[in-house]
Amino acid sequence: MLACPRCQSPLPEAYCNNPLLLPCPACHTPIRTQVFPACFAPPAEGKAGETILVEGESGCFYHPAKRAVAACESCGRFLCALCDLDLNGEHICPACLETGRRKGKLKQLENRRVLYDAVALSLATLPLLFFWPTIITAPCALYVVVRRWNAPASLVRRGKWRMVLAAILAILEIAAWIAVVYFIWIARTLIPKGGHR
Amino acid sequence: MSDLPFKYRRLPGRGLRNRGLQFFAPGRCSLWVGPDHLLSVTRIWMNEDYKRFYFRDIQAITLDKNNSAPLRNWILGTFAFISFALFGVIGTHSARPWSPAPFIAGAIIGGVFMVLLLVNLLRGPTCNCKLRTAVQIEELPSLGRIRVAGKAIAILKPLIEAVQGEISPQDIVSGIAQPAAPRRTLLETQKPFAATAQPPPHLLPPATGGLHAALYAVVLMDSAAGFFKHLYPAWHSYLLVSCPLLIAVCGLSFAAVIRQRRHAISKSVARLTNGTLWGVIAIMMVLFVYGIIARTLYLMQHPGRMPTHIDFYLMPWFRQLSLYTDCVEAAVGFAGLGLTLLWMSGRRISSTASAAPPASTPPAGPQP
Repeated sequence: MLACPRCQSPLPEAYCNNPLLLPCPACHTPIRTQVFPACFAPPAEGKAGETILVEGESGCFYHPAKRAVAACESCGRFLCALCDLDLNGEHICPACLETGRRKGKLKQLENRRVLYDAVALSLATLPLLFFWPTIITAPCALYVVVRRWNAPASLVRRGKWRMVLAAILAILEIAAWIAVVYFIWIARTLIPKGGHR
Repeated sequence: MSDLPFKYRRLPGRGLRNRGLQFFAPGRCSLWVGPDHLLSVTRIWMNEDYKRFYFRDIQAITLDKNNSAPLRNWILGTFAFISFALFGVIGTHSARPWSPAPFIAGAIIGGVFMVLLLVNLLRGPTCNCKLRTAVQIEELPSLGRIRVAGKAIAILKPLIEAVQGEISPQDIVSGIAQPAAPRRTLLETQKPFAATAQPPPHLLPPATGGLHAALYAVVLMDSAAGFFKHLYPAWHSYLLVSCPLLIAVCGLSFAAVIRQRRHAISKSVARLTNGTLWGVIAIMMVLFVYGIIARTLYLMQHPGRMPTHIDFYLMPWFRQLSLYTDCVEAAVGFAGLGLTLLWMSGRRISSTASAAPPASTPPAGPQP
């Protein structure tokens, strides 16, 4: 049933797919509703596995008494109608689905990624505000770049420019620190204690 | 390079998903169109969370207009007016000999607010956009403007209809007329965001509001102390009063933000509290940077002397800036205290109404 998104009161059909904002009959909030055929489609019914009646028929790996209707496209096990999971046209068994989700093999189920390129770039840029933390963060940024160069980046943004920029900045910061240490060492060596040269 | 066989296309609009303590780095949301699904991306710190809505499952997209845009206009307009008026008054009365500096400062600060106001006006009215499937209703913060949401719907409609087919007016009439299948209620279907398993606000126990009231009372006290210092510049123990008050505001606002994450409180109070914490952090950072600059300047002007006794109030810029922050603090304090007291009184009325027995029911126990 169609309802106002604000007050949940039912809406008449004139509110559906109207490009204008119409006031809700109950709460008078201007609303727009775009509906699609799935809104009125009956909910899909689940299938139960059929019992094996004829001897010699293949049974489900998980329910041996049930007739197999498909084979898992990942592990090859026979599956009954109950265990056969449709994943965008692929037949997968519950165990493979769980393993694929846990190990990130099924891209359709991946719901989180760590952006190592952003980690490296942050390590290389943010501490520049105070400079002294870069003595620790620059090697860390370089380590992240080397260690995670092949790690998958964002699903939607492509390219490795953040990694490259982080590497360049980290190398420059390390070089700057080496130069600072070198000049301090030179100054201490050339200027004797207790007075000028 | 790419680990996917297709490329996502970005939909217009971007927004923030602000939940509880995430206000330090709210999730930045965007929508992307894939070959057979819509991808909702929320970036929090260095992570990206994904939610896929397959075109075959999308039942409806709804918009309801909200008052966020006019509220922002009022707030930004007020700040712009305060900036122009305050620095104008300071420039006219206090500077001897006459100096354009306060007018320039007022024009810059007020101009920033005016630009933000103009941007808000140009972006148009705001709305809550929700996408409905059979099992959930998902809010889409990136479609927070009616114009942007209209554009996104125009892009999505043909893609969804290519999968599901077009819906005719007769289908809508017959669909609405048929008895609704036993469907779970909105309360049951609204799933919390995957990254933060937090129950929706209407399921949280109500906050008493005491902590928020204390916070805004302390904000008002701090503002009053600032005004007093402006009236009596010779008040040397000001720092002894203002520093603990500022630290108390910081601590209380942090505690209030945690409290409102675990307890229900009105949306306006919650937003104002988040803003207060941001403001306190900004003030502390400004003081920190200003202190470093002032001490450096002092060292440059007086080489060899330690800058241990700098009275910042002797510096005209700091005085004007602190008067400005005191005005803002007073406005925030009064608004926050008023809203919190309103919330507390409303809560008291509702609790007494629910506790009182109905008038028609006779008392259960024996009467004395």
